[in-house]
This record gives sequence, C-alpha cells and structure tokens, in this order.
Amino acid sequence: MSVLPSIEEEFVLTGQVKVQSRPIAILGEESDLAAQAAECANDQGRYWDFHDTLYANQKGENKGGFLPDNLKRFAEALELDTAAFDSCLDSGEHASRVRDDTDSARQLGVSSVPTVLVNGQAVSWHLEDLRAAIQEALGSGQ
Amino acid sequence: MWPYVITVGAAAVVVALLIVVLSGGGGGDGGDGGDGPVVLPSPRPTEIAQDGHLLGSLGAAVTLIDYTDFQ
Repeated sequence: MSVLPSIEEEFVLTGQVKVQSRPIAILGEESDLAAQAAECANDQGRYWDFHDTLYANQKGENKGGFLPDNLKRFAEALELDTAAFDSCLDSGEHASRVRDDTDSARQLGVSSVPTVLVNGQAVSWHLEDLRAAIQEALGSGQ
Repeated sequence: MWPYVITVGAAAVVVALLIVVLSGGGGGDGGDGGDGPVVLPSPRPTEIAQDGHLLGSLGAAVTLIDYTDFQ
C-alpha cells in the first residue's frame, strides 16, 4: 500500500498510468469479508475510499479487524448509506464475485499479494522496480 | 530489614499484576480487532479520476493491475 501513493503522484496524477484494483481473498475469512465490503462500497461509488480505509485500519491477519461490525463502522465513518451497505454485506451479495475473482487470479498464477502487473508483466511491489517498469512501458527508457 | 524489602517487593509485583489484569492489558492475541476510532485516510487529489476499481485516466498509456488482499 505504501508504494501506491508515490505511483499515483508520479504517474497517475499526470495521466500516464491508470490503476486497476482487483481485490482477492487468499489470507483468510477476513480477506473475504473485506473484499466483499469493498464491493459494497463500490456499489455506492466509494470503492477507493473504502480501499484506503481498509489499509489504514489493518490489525493483522484474521485478528478481528475486518469482521462485519468493524467493516460497518468504516462505512459509517465514510458516511456511506449504512443501511444499504449493511444489507449488502450481511446478504453476501458480492461473495460469489470475490470468490470468482480469487479463483481467476489463482488460475493466472497469482499466489501472493500484492501481485502487480504493468501492461501485463509481473513486477515486484517495490517502488524502484515499479517506476522502472512503468518508465519502460512508457518508452522513456529511463 | 530483608523481610521488609521482600514483603514490599512482593506487594509491588501483586499490585502491578492486578493493574495489568484489570486494565485488560497484557498484549494478548484476543482477536477483537480493536474498537478504537476508525482511521480515515487523506483524500486523494480530485484531479485523479475514480471509476469503480479504476483509478486514473482511461486514456493512460500504462495499466497497472494490483491484485490485492486487504489484510
């Protein structure tokens, strides 16, 4: 996560790069719940706000930080429509989507996170490596 | 003198343990995930377009796909 702000400032803000986030759940139940919650936020046009809030409130893997009550608190803090959000999360409306996206990612060889592709090429999640890959893709050769 | 020191020391240890127990401390792995205030991140510059899972200009030459697990 800490790499993304730099990439955004250098390349996204300047219109050179677009970022496609694909949430998957490979670390346990709370990964699944968090990904579903992000999709519920996306239903209200707030995917990235929720994405950032999840990262800002990480408590460790499957420690309770992303159980439904906390995810609903995030939605409330972001001033989402909490009734719609809670209903979405409780009903598992996006459970199959998260499961399908996770299965698809695994079939593509994604076995760890974060896995990052720059124009289809896997790149390590290190700022210098990403910067170099992006610049190469842009044809700058730097 | 020594019995007095030992008694005071033992009492101090007991008091310290009581404070830890009563405050719910101890750094345990209780799994409650915390009920502290929600940390809200800084908002992005409004110049960066957001469309669902996409961040940035649709016409950008380079696409970065981030497979992420929020944990």
